[in-house]
Amino acid sequence: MTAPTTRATADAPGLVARLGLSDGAAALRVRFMGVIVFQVLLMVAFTSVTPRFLTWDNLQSVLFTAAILAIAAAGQTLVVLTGNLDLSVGSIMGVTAYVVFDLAGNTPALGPWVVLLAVLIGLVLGAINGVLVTVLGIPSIVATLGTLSLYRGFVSFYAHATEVTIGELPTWIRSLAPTRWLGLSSYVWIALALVIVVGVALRTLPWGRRLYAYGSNPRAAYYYGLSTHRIVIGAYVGAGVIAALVGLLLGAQVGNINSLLASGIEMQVLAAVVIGGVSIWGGSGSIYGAALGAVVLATINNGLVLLGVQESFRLLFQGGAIVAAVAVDALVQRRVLSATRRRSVGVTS
Amino acid sequence: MADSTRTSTTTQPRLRVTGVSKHFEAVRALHGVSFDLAPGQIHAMVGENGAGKSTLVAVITGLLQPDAGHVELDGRPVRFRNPLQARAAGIAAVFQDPNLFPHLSVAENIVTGRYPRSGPFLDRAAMSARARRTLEDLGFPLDPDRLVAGLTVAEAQFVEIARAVDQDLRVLILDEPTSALTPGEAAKLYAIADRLRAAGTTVVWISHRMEEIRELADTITVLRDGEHVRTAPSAEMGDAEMIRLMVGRSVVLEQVPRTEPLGPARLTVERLTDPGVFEDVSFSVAEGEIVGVAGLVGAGRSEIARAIFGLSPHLTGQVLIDGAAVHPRGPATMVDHGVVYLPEDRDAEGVISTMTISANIALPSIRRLSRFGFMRGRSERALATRQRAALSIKGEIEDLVSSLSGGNRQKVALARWLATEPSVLLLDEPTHGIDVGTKAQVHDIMRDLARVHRMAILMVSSDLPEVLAVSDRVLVIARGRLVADLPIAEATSEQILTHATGTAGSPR
Repeated sequence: MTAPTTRATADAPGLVARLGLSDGAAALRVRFMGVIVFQVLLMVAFTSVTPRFLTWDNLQSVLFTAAILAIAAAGQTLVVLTGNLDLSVGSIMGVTAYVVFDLAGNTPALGPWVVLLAVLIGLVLGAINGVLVTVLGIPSIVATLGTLSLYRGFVSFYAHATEVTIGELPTWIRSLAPTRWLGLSSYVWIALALVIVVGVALRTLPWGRRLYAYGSNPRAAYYYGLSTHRIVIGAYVGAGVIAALVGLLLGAQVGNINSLLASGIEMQVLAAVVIGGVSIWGGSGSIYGAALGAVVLATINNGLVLLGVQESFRLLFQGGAIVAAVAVDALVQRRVLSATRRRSVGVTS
Repeated sequence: MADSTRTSTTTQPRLRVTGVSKHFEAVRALHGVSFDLAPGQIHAMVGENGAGKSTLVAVITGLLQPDAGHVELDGRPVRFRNPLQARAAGIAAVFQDPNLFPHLSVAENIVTGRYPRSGPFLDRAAMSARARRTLEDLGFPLDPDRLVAGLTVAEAQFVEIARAVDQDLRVLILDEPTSALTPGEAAKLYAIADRLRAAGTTVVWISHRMEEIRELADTITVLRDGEHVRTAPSAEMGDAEMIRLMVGRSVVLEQVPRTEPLGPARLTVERLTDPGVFEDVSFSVAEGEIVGVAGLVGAGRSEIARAIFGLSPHLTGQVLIDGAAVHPRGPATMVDHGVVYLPEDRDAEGVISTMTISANIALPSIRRLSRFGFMRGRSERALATRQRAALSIKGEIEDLVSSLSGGNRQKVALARWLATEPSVLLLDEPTHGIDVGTKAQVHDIMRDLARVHRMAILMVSSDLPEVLAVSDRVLVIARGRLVADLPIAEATSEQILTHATGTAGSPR
């Protein structure tokens, strides 16, 4: 049978077709390119409005702000790829920073081993999230809303309304934040390294493939014989560990740590992930996109501060970016899925 | 019920489709399709998957807007912007998969949007009464206060039809209405179609099933590749002719005699029971054998296959793979034991349509394809290329599965299991909704897998010609029990139906 596949239509192709959005795979690529284009547009716009934007110092400060957000977004991405959310990242950061630096202050002999302790805390808290979502079947938004309060409650209880002061922090970590390597803050390099490590892991480890598969179609993944609980718990553990590490970095940067450290940051993190093109429905998007999303957010914040606009405008702008990003995602999602019907018309056997 | 006084005395067609074309970007779905439908007729619309039937229905019901051409209803040009408008004008479509509100009652579903009221309030009693009357008129009494969530597919379909006929109905379009129904339920649907025809409604019946087209249709329209091929009275178009027009070649489901010997039993189940679903089921499938599982929908056939794959938590009894007892804890366990299951609902359960063909095929074999815990792109591509060639899957291995047709998606679903080199293949309606040509291909693949690759295949199917063409043995399940185990040489459609319905004579 002849397949009338690629005959061009007589009428002018729509915008969607011209952008190459008609093919599902291409739509996903375009989505990623879109973030880059948006970032470039932002930079052009800010540069043209204020000369102070495009200076080496300012760009460094943008990247420094983006660094912490980008690492946290990498962790969140793991969870969002499975079609879930982790609202407790801020609390995990807070718990880790407080507990670890408190212990480090009391027991200086621990030295750099405290990092291992942080990993352990992240692992346990992430696993709790994962178990709630999988084994108990609690919708992730509710489960992590619960642990958001639980973990924060724990750290308040532990802290007893006291602070870990900057003097208690081990010197090696205290000196990390102001350190520069090759002209950029150490945090930027750490963020870059972590994002690449997670990105490569997602690409090359079977676990990464399973994560995407599960996010795209959880039921089919189960029917494929994949251990779906293990996939989701793994994502939460990954997110927990990464949040714990970010907690250390943030704590070291802030210096004086109270029990409220990093509260509310989960919204910024989610915003970065979503702007970066990680589909909130799961199964598509990349760590690099999320990191880029963090840079976009940092750029918006920085540029608007330079312009001296009010906080309310910053929120409006950020909100607009989030809604626009999700709207584009919805369009891409539709393209990917609707490719089904349109192509099946041509490809008969 | 449609109002019978409106039956036209002129020869004006009820529905006239003139030069309808529809493109989706570069793909032509419909091209200059024109035909007339007379009032009070059952009109079969046939064509392979992708012939344009669904697109045409979407255009007629206002789900899609045509690029060119128009539709006339009783001589008036109509252009519906959505299915609601079409419904208001008397055109309703019922699709394969019922679209109902599961958390509402049958009555609420039937009268959706036209709720009887007393003052500002819903008149529940009137609503129930009206729904009950409609259902009884259709010859399908069903408690109108039941929740739709608990209904069988057939019942849900009747509720949809009841919803359609609840108002003045001129054209009823049924898209593959019997694909999920048992013969008995289908017979009820035939009776409803007959009744609607007598009342002057034009019924458009889209189907893959020759028998029912023969039994019901007054006229037949054949579509192929988005073009109208022919509309003719049923009497003037023989089966062979119809198939020739549809596919441009003749395809018949034929048995291919087995020359290879059967091996030892690979899958044995003993006293398998899932309370309330099926009971005390024992059988075995040998190496190189294809065992068909026939029976009515809802008899527990799919559930047995799913239970063997570990999808039933309350299972008791024994499952033995190559003689060793295995507890079917979940799909992961069973896949490890070489037992794989191809679900009926391809898109929801069978493939991950937003991933590439190659990723889908490699997914269950990822561990084997990795070295030192890292995936190797080259082995993955090699595997995908091999499977793609073996099953002749259309499309490149880097294409998304969502871009494939149903038949090719099914092949991808199959390919990913074959890549794991399983020993037992459980197939649930493997060719459901697949066009005739691909169907025969899938059958050939199945025979090859059993006879050459020595797999044991258990195939659940509602398509009797398919069961008879492919199986070496036929198990018949009725009301959750295994009621017959027929060697293929002795099996006939009539015999299978007799066992399945538990009646002595022929069910129809």
